[in-house]
Amino acid sequence: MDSRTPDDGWLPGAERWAGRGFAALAGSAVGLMVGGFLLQWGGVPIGTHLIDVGVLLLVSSPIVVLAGLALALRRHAPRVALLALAIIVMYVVGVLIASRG
Amino acid sequence: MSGAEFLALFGIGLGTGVIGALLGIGGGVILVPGLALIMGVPLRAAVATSLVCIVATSVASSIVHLPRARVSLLLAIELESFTVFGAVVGGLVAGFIPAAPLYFAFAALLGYTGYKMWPRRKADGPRKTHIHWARAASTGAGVISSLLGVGGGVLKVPVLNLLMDLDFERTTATSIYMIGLTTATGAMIYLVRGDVHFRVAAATALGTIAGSGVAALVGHRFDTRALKGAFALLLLYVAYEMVRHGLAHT
Repeated sequence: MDSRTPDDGWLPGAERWAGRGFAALAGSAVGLMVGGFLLQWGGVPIGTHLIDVGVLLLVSSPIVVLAGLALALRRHAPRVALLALAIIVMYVVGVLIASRG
Repeated sequence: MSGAEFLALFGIGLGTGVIGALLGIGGGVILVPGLALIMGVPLRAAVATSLVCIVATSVASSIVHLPRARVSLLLAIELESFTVFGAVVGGLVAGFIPAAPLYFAFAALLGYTGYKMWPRRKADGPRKTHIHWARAASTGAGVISSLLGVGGGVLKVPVLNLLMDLDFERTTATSIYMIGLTTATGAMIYLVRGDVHFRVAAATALGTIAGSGVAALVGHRFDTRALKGAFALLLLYVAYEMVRHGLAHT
């Protein structure tokens, strides 16, 4: 069945590209975290920092992929791109407010 | 962190990732008690770690589901924007609404949804979809998750399955993608505030990624009716927990 809402276009292959974006980001994050643990167990101090960067990369990946989708969809499905942008703006505002305590 | 601790955290993540990916939930209901009670992680850090792992479940599952066109991406972005808006509204009105009646009302709603989600013989032909109700329910889900600290899959799966008539495979795939967007905000806020124990989060998240990735790959081989039944039981369990919290607030 078609679950899409009416009056919207779509960019063919958007799902595939989003999947590739997730794979690239998550793959890098996993590499950093696994490498970080191995270095840490080997007594190399930089391992801890690699783990930190890996976790940060993993946590930010849904928003990074959404930002990519918003950019790609701005002509094909402008309303959806706008909704994606709204999610990103609320995310940034929430994090900024939290960072100021 | 010792190798034994790493393996224990990896194992907890692995189990949660499998269950989360199969049922379309984040798995916070399993992770937080698992980390706090089994591993002795302080509750605040356990919540923060669980959010990181929920994002990991979402990302690993989406890598499998998105290229196979199991995620209704357009619908996910649309409904997610309503959920985020609802969460903001919930955050603004949180101080004005008494918690106890809200817990009981939510428990009743979960009980009813659990009954509706229970697997039955499917009626012939596609059912009608209710996009306006789905938008309203997504906004309500955001408000509730903000007010009660619950949400994720227990709210998104019924909206997608019952109101938008997605089959259970697409429902879980779309729900798990949406959960990543919802949880990323909370996880980043905890990270910024310094509540996340990075090594604990990384070890657990690696397990979650492995578990959810494998479950997303083989999940379609499982009996949908059994998965729906398991999800309905999970809803009833969360309803029971809501009643318990409600009684504690009276």
